[in-house]
Amino acid sequence: MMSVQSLTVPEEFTVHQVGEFAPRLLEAARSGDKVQVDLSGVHHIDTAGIQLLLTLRREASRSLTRLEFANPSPAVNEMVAFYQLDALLRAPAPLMSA
Amino acid sequence: MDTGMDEAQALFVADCTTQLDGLELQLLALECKPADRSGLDAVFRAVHTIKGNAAVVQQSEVEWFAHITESVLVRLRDGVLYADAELVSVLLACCDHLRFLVRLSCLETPVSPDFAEADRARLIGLLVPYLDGEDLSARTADKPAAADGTVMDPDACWRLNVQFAPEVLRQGMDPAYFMRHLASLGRICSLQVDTEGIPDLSEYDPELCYLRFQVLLDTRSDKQTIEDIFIFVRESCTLQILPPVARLDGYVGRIHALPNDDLHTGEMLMRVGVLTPSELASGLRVQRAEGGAGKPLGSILVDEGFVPPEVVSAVLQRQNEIRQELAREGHAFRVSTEQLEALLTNIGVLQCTVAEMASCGRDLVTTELDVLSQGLEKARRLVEGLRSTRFGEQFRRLHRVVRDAAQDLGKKVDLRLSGSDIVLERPVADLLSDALMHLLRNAIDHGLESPAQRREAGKLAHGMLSVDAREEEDWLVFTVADDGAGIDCDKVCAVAIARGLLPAGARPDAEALYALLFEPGFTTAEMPTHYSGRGVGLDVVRDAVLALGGEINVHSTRGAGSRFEIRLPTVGEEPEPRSTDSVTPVFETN
Repeated sequence: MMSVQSLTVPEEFTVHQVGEFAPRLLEAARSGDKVQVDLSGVHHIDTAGIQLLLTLRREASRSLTRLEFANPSPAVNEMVAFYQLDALLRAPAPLMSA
Repeated sequence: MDTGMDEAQALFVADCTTQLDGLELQLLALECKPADRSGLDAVFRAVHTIKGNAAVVQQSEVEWFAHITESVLVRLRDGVLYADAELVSVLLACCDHLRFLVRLSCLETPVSPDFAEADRARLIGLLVPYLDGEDLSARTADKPAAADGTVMDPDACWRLNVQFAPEVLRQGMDPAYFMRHLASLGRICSLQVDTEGIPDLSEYDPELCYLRFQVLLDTRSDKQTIEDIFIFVRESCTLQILPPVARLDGYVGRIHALPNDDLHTGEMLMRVGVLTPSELASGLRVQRAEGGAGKPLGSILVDEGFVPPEVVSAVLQRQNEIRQELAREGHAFRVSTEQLEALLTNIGVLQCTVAEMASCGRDLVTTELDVLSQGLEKARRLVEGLRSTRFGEQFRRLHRVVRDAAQDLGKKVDLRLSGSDIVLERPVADLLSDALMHLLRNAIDHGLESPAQRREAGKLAHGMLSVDAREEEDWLVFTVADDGAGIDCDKVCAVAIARGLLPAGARPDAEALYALLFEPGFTTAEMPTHYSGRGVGLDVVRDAVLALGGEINVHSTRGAGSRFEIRLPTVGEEPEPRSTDSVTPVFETN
């Protein structure tokens, strides 16, 4: 059984934080594991944050990683809706029960 | 043409006026040939162009009303409706209303909005029977702030492609800020985030912006306003703003209405509002970078995504036309009468100065003064020539007034006009045209009999009305003639006595009786149901003619018709220098 990685995205997820968090998140996205990225704590997200989520999604699909963006906070939902990127948050396939 | 009106607006008014003049003529022609395909097409085109123009300059009232009118015309063109007199009347009224709205659009503060509102409500009431239910409801869907769920029409949206400079995020500017600002101009119908530009991880820097944005924006704002949203990043971002497909016709129409100036491609595109100055600057930079033998600017602007190719084609076509027109006509252009008047006054003053110098300046060489004076005289005549107009330019107004009056009064009339080449000064032409229109209304109201009466009298049901202009020695003679019932001298006499204009029992000859027709208040007394409703009688016509230094008289034969003749002195025979001071020229010009 594949391992499940769980990562949490910080409260502030903007151009000022992405540089620090990107390597870990990208590494997980390329792991080929099941990865859950918890977005529940995000208070503030900007286009840099959105772009990083989009990049994670791309890397995950290239690496056959099962990536799930879980529990998007209102801030995330609002930004995703504004950019009309609803598909971004949709999991590619349902996760097997842990 | 008021101050404070920008060039685009002035162009809009000028072009709409031309379109509306044409429309009115076409509608009048259509009434005689209701199924004329090319006539129907021409009418439709005129209104469609006005609608497009209005969209470009954001005259939403004009645009909406033109849209409604156009909806009727579509059904007319498709053969669902028939252009009978009643429908033509409604369409002519729509034409008038559009004219009114267009005039209104050039005023800074709206005048009599209540009237506009009431007039529109009245017209909509008249149009409703000719419309599909959905035509009118289009208005709510048209509003930019329409609630979500309204059907989105991509053709009505601006298309934006935006790629920010990669550093934009680091500089503290979030693209989302600009996108949200766009929404404040109207409604974002679609926003696509293009991720193609995100590089492989080896080159990936999460702090750089790799995204491109494609936006469909539904707004009534113009291109400059949209561009201004990006003002802080304009220099560093790649920005393409393409106008709604639905507006292309409007831009093309406006390009074709551009004056006959020798304009460059970029300037023409800017004038009609499809290109912004900074886009032009970028285009020129590209052109310079490509070197002298590079592509023409128009292609560059299309390739850069600044303007749609259709608009550039229209510009090239218009440039060709302009070149041909300039070559053919030499120098036809629009001049404001105010400027002409100012110039004339100026020349007049100069002429006086020359005359003064001639009278006291012994040291001056008379032949030189002579030449100068002749030059001035020639200049003045040239300017006077510019100030003049041909009588034929009044024909549209005359046709219209006859058509409307006949329609309202249930008469049938054939109008014949001649003398279109007679030249008049514009102010004279205006006054004269008012007087003639009044005589025509008068002839239809009082002169011509109803079709039934005419048949009874052994005449054709259609009455004959004619306006003729001709030159007779030092006079311009204008004749308004009808083949109606003629003036009833007994009746005129009776009314005159009743009004106290003649002593009881008086019976002057016909000439003297006719003269009474021009007395103030006479007509209203005679005809309490006076059609014209303008509260003026023939006295106004006489006053106008007298003011022009002319005379008016009438001949009439009972049963056969009446003939009004206006005689105006031809001007320019002995032109006095236009000057307010009392210097008398003592100097002969020849």
